[in-house]
Amino acid sequence: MIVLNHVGKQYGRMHTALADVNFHIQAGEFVFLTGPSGAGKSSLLKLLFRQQVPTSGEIRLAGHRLGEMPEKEIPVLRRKMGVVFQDFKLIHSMTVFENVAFVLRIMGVSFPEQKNRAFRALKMVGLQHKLSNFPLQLSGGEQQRVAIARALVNDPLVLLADEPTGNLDPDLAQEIMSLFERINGQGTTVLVATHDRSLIQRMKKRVLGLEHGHLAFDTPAPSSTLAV
Amino acid sequence: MIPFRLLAILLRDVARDLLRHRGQHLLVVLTLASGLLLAGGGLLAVESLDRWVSRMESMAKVTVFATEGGHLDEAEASLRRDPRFRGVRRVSAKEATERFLASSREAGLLLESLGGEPLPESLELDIRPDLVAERRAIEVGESLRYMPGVGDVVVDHERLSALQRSARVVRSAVSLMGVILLLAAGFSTGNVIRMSILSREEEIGIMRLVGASESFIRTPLLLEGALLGLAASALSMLALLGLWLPLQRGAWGLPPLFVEMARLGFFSPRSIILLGTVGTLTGALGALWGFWSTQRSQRRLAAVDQGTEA
Ligand SMILES: Nc1ncnc2c1ncn2[C@@H]1O[C@H](COP(=O)(O)OP(=O)(O)OP(=O)(O)O)[C@@H](O)[C@H]1O
Ligand SMILES: [Mg+2]
Repeated sequence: MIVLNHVGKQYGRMHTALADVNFHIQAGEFVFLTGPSGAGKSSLLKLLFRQQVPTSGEIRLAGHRLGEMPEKEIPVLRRKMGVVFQDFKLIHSMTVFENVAFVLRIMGVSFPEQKNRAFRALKMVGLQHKLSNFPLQLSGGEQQRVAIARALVNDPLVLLADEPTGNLDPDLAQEIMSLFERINGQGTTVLVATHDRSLIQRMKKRVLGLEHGHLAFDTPAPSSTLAV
Repeated sequence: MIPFRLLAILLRDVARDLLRHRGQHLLVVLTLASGLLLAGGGLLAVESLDRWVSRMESMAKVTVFATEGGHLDEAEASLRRDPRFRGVRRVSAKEATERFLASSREAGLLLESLGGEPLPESLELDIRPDLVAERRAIEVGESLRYMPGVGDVVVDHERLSALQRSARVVRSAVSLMGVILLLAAGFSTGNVIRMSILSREEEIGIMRLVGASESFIRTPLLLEGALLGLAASALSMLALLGLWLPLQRGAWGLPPLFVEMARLGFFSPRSIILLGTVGTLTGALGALWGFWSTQRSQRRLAAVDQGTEA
């Protein structure tokens, strides 16, 4: 599903954010991406949904070769993915409901269905009572959950989440992780960037570790949970 | 069926968006409407002037006056056979006097001071259309001067041509000003729309990030711009109507010529369509301009983000 071959990413001439990263994620896997702040986690995710292009190497995702993909195809790629951004990226002039339904609108889903699915997604993250609030009227954790609902609402092939629990209390974080597991159980490939070690330990999944832009380790999931 | 549904979705989205950014959109409409108000005012003025001139033209005639105490029987008989005229109307001395008395308040006094002498009778000739041009009308008039019983010949077209000339000058001056104004208004409105779209740039960027295609973003923006432009046209026409209605009723003590011109009518359907189209196009082009600007700055940001622009 996701293949990286000798991927490097430089910002400007001097700064290397990623260097010679290689890994392979199968369809239906649940993988954590970890590493200290500045290790390159967000940079890697940005490459994966083609917000940026790698300076070197090759990335393949769901059959697309991201490096040579024409700009016109980018929206097609993104519609197959759900992304939870580290800074949420909610549209402030839209209500919570509209933010989530927007993804469905893009795909040409009928309005009644938009309503149904957006409501279900918001219910999954426990925000069904804030449908008509605006993002700025919500707490950081609530905004984060809206971003999660938006990433899940289109039943994506791949879910990328950048610190999706960064603003949540441990109970809520656990709940969101269970939600991700459920989505993963339905066939979505999940890649979660986080530096929350306890979360990673509890979840018992495959873990990719970045350090200074290099892939430092790739620990497979303990065999007990592999058969989800 | 499907296209209908898509259209319905699009229209609802546009309506929501218009409402959501109503503050900026109000500004857009007001800017464009004020430009269109001035340009439309010029258009209305030119149109009224044209109407007035053509009414004058249609009223223009050649008048043959009898000599003092003379009669026009013979002349009338031959003019009625003359193919150069479409119509001949005899105005008796009595009718001429009545008309004169009705023409102004001082007419009675004037007539008295002339010793109560009756006005001469006359023939009003309606000239064939192809002879209406100034030169030819004058020639026709000259040829009538030596008919039996004819004292004087007055050719209205002679005076009319001066009026036509000044109307032409006024028309081209006002049109030029109108076009300049419209360009300026179009530019500033385009800019306001562009700013309003640029202020939503972050949102538009997010839309792109979650998979919206360029045309998905552009279409509603374009439609919104067009609707705003149409609204501005309607607003400016309403404002002009609000000025025109009291004017043609003679308000504000304006010169009677203006009032008379105003009475000839408001915008013709053609001008209404013209103004509507100009407004709509301005709005749509402004939106397109704004959209391109977001694309350009998006690319610049991306370049910075890629580190290719160091
Ligand atoms: N647009 C950019 N231009 C220049 N340098 C950048 C840019 N984005 C990230 N970097 C640098 O690249 C490195 C990796 O950044 P990245 O955001 O991927 O880290 P991260 O692992 O997500 O960190 P965190 O856990 O704090 O979110 C950092 O040193 C950062 O300063
Ligand atoms: Mg990060």
